Amino acid sequence: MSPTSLTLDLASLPADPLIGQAVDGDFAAARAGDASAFVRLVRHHQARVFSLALRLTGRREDAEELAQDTFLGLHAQLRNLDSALHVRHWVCRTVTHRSIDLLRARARRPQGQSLDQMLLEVPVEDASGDPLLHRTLRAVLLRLPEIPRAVLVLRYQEDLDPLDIAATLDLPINTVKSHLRRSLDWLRGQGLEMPR
Amino acid sequence: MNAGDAKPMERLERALQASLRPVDPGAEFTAAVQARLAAASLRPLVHPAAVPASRARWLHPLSLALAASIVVAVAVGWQLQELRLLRHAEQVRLEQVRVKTQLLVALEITSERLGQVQRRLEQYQLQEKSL
Repeated sequence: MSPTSLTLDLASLPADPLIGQAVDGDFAAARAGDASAFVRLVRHHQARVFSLALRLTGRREDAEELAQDTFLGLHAQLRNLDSALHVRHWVCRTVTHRSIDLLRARARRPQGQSLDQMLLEVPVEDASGDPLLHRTLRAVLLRLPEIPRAVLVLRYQEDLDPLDIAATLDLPINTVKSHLRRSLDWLRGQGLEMPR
Repeated sequence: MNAGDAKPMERLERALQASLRPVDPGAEFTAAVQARLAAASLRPLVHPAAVPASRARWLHPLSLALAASIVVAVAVGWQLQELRLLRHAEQVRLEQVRVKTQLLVALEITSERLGQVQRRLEQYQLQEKSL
């Protein structure tokens, strides 16, 4: 999959509250060659990019490398991007496709492992609420094939709607909706105790 | 989805949002990106990454193998064409020899006939003189 082509119609997207004027300024300055502005752009996006890679690959080392590669690619591609919003979609799309490519290259899914084994492999994170439930959910997500997993992560981490997910993953929107519905049904069938 | 499923589904979606909250990889991550960018910009000119993209593509082993294959294919094609031309020239030459032979045979026959006619005319002239 090639992450360089962006089919998403950026003009049609609603304004993103996460993309403020400061980020717009950093984007323009970074595009003009200001290294410190590029570092600020990295800081602004690094949680999103790193987390996408982490949720998709399930390994911290892979996630760090993929996220760093994505930012190096961003540095090379800045001149081809139009706005801070474009940067956000570019990094999401690129890291998602690179993570999927890595998973396919790895050519193994931890489906044969027990949930207990998988829980041991899922990175520990500081989280509010029920840490065990959150960690279990992240472990269960790793049992999904890469595309449904990417659909769920883009939906619930990035809060993208099905149309944006379809553009990010180069999938028909009905396929995205189908993956969402079936994956949620599957998750519900895993017998996890949800807080009321 | 029916009405009874709505609440469990909402709870699952909330749990997913909480579980998938982005985590910051920290300042070390930013520093690592900066270090890799600096390393990339400090690479010596002879490093493969510094070779222009078009040249790098050209020097790729697959590109070289493809170029070699094309050269071999062109050479073999040229040789085959030459062979076809030689065969054609040989066929034309054989045809010319055959036509020439036929012409010679025809001339020989004609010459023999003319000789016969001439001999008969001479016989008639002798007979007329004797009368």
